[in-house]
Amino acid sequence: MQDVPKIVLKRLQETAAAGTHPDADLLTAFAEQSLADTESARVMEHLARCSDCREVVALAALPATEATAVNASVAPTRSGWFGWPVLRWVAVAAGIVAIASVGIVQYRQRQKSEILVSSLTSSNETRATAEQAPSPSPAAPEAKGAISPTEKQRLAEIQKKALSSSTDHLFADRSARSANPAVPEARAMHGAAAGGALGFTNNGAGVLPKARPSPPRDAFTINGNLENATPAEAAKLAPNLSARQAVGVPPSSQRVEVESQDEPATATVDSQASDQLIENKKQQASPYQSSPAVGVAAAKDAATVQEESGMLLASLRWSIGADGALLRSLDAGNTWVEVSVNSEAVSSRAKAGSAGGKFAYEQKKKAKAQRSASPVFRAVSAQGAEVWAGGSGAVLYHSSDSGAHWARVLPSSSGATPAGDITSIEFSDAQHGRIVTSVGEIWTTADNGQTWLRQ
Amino acid sequence: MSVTLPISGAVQSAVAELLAELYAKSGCEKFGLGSESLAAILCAVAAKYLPAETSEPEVCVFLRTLRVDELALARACAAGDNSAWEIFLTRYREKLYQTALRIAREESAARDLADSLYAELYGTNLRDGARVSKLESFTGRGSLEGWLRTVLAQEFVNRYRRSKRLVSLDEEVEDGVQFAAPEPELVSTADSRLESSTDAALAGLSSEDRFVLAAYYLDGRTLAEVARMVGVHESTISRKLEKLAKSLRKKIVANMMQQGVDRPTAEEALEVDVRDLQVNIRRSLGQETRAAAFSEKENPLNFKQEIAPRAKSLEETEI
Repeated sequence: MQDVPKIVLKRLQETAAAGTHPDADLLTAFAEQSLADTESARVMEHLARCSDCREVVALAALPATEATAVNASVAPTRSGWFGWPVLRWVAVAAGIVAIASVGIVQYRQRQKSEILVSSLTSSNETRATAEQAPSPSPAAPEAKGAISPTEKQRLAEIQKKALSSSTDHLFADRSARSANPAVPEARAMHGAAAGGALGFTNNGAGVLPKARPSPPRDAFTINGNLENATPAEAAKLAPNLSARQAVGVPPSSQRVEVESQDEPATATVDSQASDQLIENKKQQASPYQSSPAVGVAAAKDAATVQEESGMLLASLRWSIGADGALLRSLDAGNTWVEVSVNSEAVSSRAKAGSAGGKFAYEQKKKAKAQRSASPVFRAVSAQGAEVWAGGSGAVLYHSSDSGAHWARVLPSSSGATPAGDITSIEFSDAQHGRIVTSVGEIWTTADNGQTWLRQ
Repeated sequence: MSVTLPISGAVQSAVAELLAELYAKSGCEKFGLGSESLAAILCAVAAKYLPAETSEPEVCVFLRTLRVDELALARACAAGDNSAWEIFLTRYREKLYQTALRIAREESAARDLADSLYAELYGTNLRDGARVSKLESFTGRGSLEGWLRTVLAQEFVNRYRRSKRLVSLDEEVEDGVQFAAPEPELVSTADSRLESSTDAALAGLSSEDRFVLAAYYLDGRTLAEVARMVGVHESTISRKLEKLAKSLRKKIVANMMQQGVDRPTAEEALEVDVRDLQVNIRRSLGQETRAAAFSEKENPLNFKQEIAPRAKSLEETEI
């Protein structure tokens, strides 16, 4: 605490108390704050001058623990709508809602895992046994029969492109979903139910999720395992997988719509549950080893897909997690998935390669360095598909395709580079933006980050 | 009632209007208090606290804020009603001893403190041949329990002051500094402009601000204690103190500059004082603000003369 000048204390001490001391009644009422304003002011004025009365008030005050209890009993007018009784009931109600929603989630999960297991086993006809498929879904075999081999081939091609290009959860997530056509509807209901019942963090963009969903990539690793595993293991793993998905991504109904819009763009992928699952698994076994050429092509692919689905962009939200992770939500903030800028280093390197020259070499180095350690982000800004994210050590990343691909940007102006951490990024449109660092530097760009100016 | 105050018409009519309601609320019946006695009590209380020109609606508002139930209980006790005393003792006896212990921080002193209060509550003082209970002076402005705590604290402060004075005299003799030369002025008042500038800056503060300053810096209360006294959150007090310290400094310098002192000199005067006085006042605060007490108010000059030798002795013992 800052010290006040000594002379102040001296003069404060030497101002004698005016008039008589307030009686015990007034001091009590003052301490209990039940005096009228004018009276209270008079007592306060006396207390400011009289050390004895200050001492009396201080001694008569209840210790902190008792004070609240007495205040509650002393001033019943204060316990209004948000008083303890109401809060207690709200707590009880919240508890009931929480338990109920957990029950619903459990029930849905079981349903889903059954469906998934059935589709898995039916696609692995050679290995599947009746015991591992407790309740086979009739939809899966039908769907399978309905597709011609050539069509399947085409589907596989498109899927391959989409998936290998974007190590991106956006597509990964989508394909995982379409692998199980029966699920989205159920999930949508479940999402709505859970969202409505809990209703705490669901609304509003940019709200940080309480519990971070597990990234879909985990789900794919499991998918990959599934393929190599024996049917028995697959059956064991499958519920696990769907459980993760269910916990991680309860989509809103809006999102389901978006999906159905997108699907014609990639291919007519309706209800080919088992086939897609197989294809997905094959692709996901090596999603990060795609060649640069494929990467670039896929980037275009991704861009076009996203342009086609304006609704998807509309429900895109970006945020920073508590530990500096970059988070993206595809459903207007209902669920959040961590986005890694490093795994996209492959594609950024691919771009750099085509650019050529010294810059490209530097970019390559940067990309390598960045892959090792994930940066701690502190600010993110998105203008449509243009996303900027910055954080500790003045790292600045830019994605022009809603986070499918990232490139590190090094703002420099006449040889100087930003110092400190980037604490704020503001882009007024795709071209004009400014970043602020923790040491107070302000950098601006007027050409989408091509050149920077330090202010 | 010691002094019979003139009771205005507004008070009388307001009491008459609310009497039935308040009588029911007070539970006077249990203690054999008639509605006339309650009316008399209410009139006296209102007359004591309200200025004569208070309008009737205002009196009504005031009467409704009174804790008539506890007021009735206290007055019934004062009148010697047995059932009232039973209730009083079951409700407050234990709390009273606990509070005394908390205030005195020592078993025997606490019992002593509480017992002497009980004696006063029962009414050992005689006036016109009748016992007068201290409960007679309770007016129901605050809670009865809070009032009891306040009365205990007042009693304690009075005693502490007395005993403190005795002890410190003894110490003076033992330390052999009884005849020590009076300490030079705490503050070199050479620059009276500093003093008047400070007074002006302090006068510009609200009473609450001065209260907070005094409680924290002079009395050495913790932030939490100050916050509880004022009824706000601790962080509010912390921010307020921070702001006050800054603005006072600025204002004093500004005031001095108005009186023709240039800025560096003014700032220096402020700083020098801080460094010089830091030690002295911290000590005298810890030891003397309590002992200074009521007498000081009648004769502020006494205070300084009293502290000087004691502060000196403290300094020497610590060296």
